[in-house]
Amino acid sequence: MKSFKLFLTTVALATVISATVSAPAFAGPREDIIAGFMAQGAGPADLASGKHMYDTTFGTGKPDTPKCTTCHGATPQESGQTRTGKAIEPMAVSKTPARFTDQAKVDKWFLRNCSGVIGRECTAQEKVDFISYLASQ
Amino acid sequence: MLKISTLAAAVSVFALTLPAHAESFTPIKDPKIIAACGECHMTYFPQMLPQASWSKILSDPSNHFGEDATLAPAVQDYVLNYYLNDAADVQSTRAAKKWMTGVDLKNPPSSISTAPRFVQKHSDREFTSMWNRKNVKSKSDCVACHKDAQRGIFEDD
Repeated sequence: MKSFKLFLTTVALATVISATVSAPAFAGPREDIIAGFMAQGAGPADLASGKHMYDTTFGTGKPDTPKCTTCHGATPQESGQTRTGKAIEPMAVSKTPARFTDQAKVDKWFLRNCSGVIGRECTAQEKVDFISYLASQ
Repeated sequence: MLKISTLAAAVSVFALTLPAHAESFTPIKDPKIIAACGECHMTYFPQMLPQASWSKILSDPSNHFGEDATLAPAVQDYVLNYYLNDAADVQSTRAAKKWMTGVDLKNPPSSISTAPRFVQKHSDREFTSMWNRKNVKSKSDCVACHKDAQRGIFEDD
């Protein structure tokens, strides 16, 4: 009887926890990644800032890679090409649904490309803006 | 037994169809190498350059042919060791020997496209026009012309 009570309590607790964790309507790997950057201090997403990042010529990183679209498509819906000629799938999530669903990849490419294009690491806010903008495309 | 002889026959037929001067490379199947290098470019073959070249190229990925190709430290070590272990001056394959010909180890090539074997194989004037015609973005884009390059086969030009 005692163990049955414990079981019921556990089930109830688990239900409450999972309901809390999965509260956002469209929770998934991308939302989790965004939530992770928010936990690092980012506020709500600013899509216009994300678009600005994608479109801007920074020129403050490496000379050969002054902007995102040096390699990525001129618009998020278009494919891009690495400087070695390899195709890059569009950044728009509508075109490439797997974008921003793998934390290791997200970290790897923000680290490299923010450094290569802007000349510094991106802030958590910039990452939220950038991912959210491309998720809306 | 039948299987083995069939396989042997298939292999010998395959070998016969290869042109006399073909040098082939073992395709790279290591998922770590494919993930670390292959997202940006073809995974080049270690036997194309000596250890000294790979050390120069892979020791500072934060400045990798003009790009920041920073890798996690453990991955960077793995990639460097992978290329050092199978470099042209430690491997004894036919390809490795060909790619060592003419290499000055005191002044090792800083890229595959400046290695003597590459230069020799692409020195005819026709290559300039072919590269233009095919809109080859860079000499590093082997597969633009060598469709089977990633499989280690270059004898298609």
